This record gives sequence, structure tokens and C-alpha cells, in this order.
Amino acid sequence: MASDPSSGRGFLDTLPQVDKAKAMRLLIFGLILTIIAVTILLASRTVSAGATNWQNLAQQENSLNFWSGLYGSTEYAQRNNEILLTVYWMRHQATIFSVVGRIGMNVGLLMMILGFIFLAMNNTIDEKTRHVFLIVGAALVLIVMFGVFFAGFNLTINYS
Amino acid sequence: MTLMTWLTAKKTMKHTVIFLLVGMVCVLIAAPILRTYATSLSIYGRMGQTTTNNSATNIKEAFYQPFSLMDGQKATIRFSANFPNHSVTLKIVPQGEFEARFAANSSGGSVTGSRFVYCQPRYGSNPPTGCTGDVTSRNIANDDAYIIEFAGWTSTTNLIYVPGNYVVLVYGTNSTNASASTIVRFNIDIAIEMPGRLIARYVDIAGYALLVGFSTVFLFIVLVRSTNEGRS
Repeated sequence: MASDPSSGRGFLDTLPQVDKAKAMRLLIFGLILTIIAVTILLASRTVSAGATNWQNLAQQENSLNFWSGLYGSTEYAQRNNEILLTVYWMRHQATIFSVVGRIGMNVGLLMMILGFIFLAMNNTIDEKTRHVFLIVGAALVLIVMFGVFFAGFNLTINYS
Repeated sequence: MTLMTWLTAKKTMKHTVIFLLVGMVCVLIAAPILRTYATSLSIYGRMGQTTTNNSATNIKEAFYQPFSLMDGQKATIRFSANFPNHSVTLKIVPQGEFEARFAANSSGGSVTGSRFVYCQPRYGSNPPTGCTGDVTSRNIANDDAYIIEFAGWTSTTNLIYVPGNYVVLVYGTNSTNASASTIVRFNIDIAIEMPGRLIARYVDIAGYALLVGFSTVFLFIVLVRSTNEGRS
């Protein structure tokens, strides 16, 4: 449906209306989902980045136990291999949770975009606020598009 | 039942809290306990275990302790002595051979025994430095302490798993006022490996999965409840 400038109705007014409460719920759920997904993503990357430090700590503990005569060389080798297995998992889990986190983040952002667009379309809200909603929604669309279409795009957040 | 009604139900909150507590118990209590206490099972341990001078010539007088190994299981034996004029020897013998020698009351020296690895860890060295493999007996003259690892057979310092029934045999001599009944002393502890660390890992994974899963459910319950309260 094309907008008709002569009628005095804007493009947004011609789009289907969605209940304000539903749009807000979509926005909040999207925000929560994005926060959870990004938290999972960052936590898994932190675990992966800290794997080598943990390996050094666990192997030193294993050596000290061997030297103090708590167990023999086979037990030492067994524990060393178990430490390596855990370290490989600590590194590999980042691959799994990065995918889960990224999908969750994109779905959450999509929900937020829809929430902002539905609010921008709601003619019970004043015009200026609707424009702000539209601009924020458009900015989110840009972020999602950069994230989806350009592999090199990333946001650096200092969390340490 | 829709997702919303499930999230707002009183039972859901109660179950979520219970599962969160179970997760905490798994990670903070159950896994560390299993890791510490279920890694090995001591089947015999005694400081100052005694036998007699006769044990060197008559196997029936020697110290013997049978044990069984399953596939992939090893035994760790701590063997030490700190007594003057003593010479004690440890061997690990397959049960069939032991019973044949026992029936004939042979001397301990005539028993061949299975191969094992013994270690005397040296501080700062890289394992297996300090360990010797492919040995069938270990003798202590007066003072020494060894950690012995046994799984049936060895190739250098690597264990080869041969499940079955075995017997730890210790015999020796004490040249102080030597007679056939003179007491020979040594310290011994025999422990069998248990799957405690493996079980602890699965308990850990289950605990973390419960904590992550149900804390997310908890978050959604709080969110839905606060949204509903705001609306009403």
C-alpha cells in the first residue's frame, strides 16, 4: 500500500497497527534475549581465553602432587591427559556457545527492531516520539545487517 | 498449557528453585567429595606390618593380600620400611602362580611375579623421572619408600592393563638377633583405583547445566511476573 501525501497521512500511518502493550513486550523480551545471548557469548569467550591459564595452574598442581608423593607417574600422566581434555573442551565450547549466542543475539535484536517499528507505527503516540522510535529501530537494523553480512564487523566491549 | 501459564504457575517457581539448589549441591558439594574420596579405595593399610624371618623361605609365613583388577583399573601400593638390619621384598603375583607356590610352601625368592612400575618422586623433575618400569620385585634394605603402580604388566614405565586376580607378597629378613621367629617389619598401603574423578566430571556437567538452564527460567519467571504486576 503506497502512502498518499495529498491525504496528509504519513508512510507509517498506512502500515498495520499493533497494540502498544504487545510492541513494548516484544521490545523488552528482545532486550532480555539479547542480554542473555551476549552474556553467554562473552562468558564462553572468557572461559576459552582463560583455558591456558587454567591449564598451567592445574598442571602445576598435578606436578606438586607427584613430587610430594601423593601418586605415581601413571596417575600423573592420567591426570595430565584429563587436564588436556578439559582444556580442549574449554576452547571448543566457545565455538558452540558463540553460535548459540550469536543466533540468540540476532533474534533478540530482530524482536527489538520489530518492537521499535510497531511503536513507530502506533498513531496513539505523538509524532516526535514515533520518529525517535523509528530512528532507533533503523540504527538496530544497521547493526544487525553489519553483523550478518560482514564477518569482520564486531563491537569491542571491555568487560575485564 | 501455554508457556506463559507455565511461567506464571506457582509450582514452576518452586521447581526452579529446587533445581537451582540441586545444581549448587552438585557443583559445590557432590563433585568435590567424589573427586576427593572416591578416586581410590584402600583395601589394606598398616604401619609396622609384621612377618617373620621364616617368610623368606616359607611363603606361608609371608605377608600376602589378594586383590582384583578390572579392565582399565590399576592398584597403587605404598611400600616403605624404616627399621635397622631389615631386608624386605615386595612382589605382585598372579593368583594362579601364588596358589601353586603356596601349596608347595616355596621360598619367596623362587616366585617370579608380574611387572610393575615403582616411583621415588624427585622434587622439580618431570615425570616419569624418578620412576622405573619392567621390574618384578622391589627390595628395601633398612630404609626407603616407594610408590608402586600395578595394572598387570608394563612396557618400560607404561602400564599395560591385564585384569585379573593378584596377590601382593612381602617377605624379608631381620638380622638383629636372627632366628626363624624374629619379627620383620614394614609399612604397606594397597589402594585400588575407583572411577570417582570420571563420575565427578559428569556430576559437574549436570550441575552447571541445571544452574545455567534454570537461572534463565528464573529470570523469565521474574520478568513475566513483574510485567503482569505492572499491567494489573
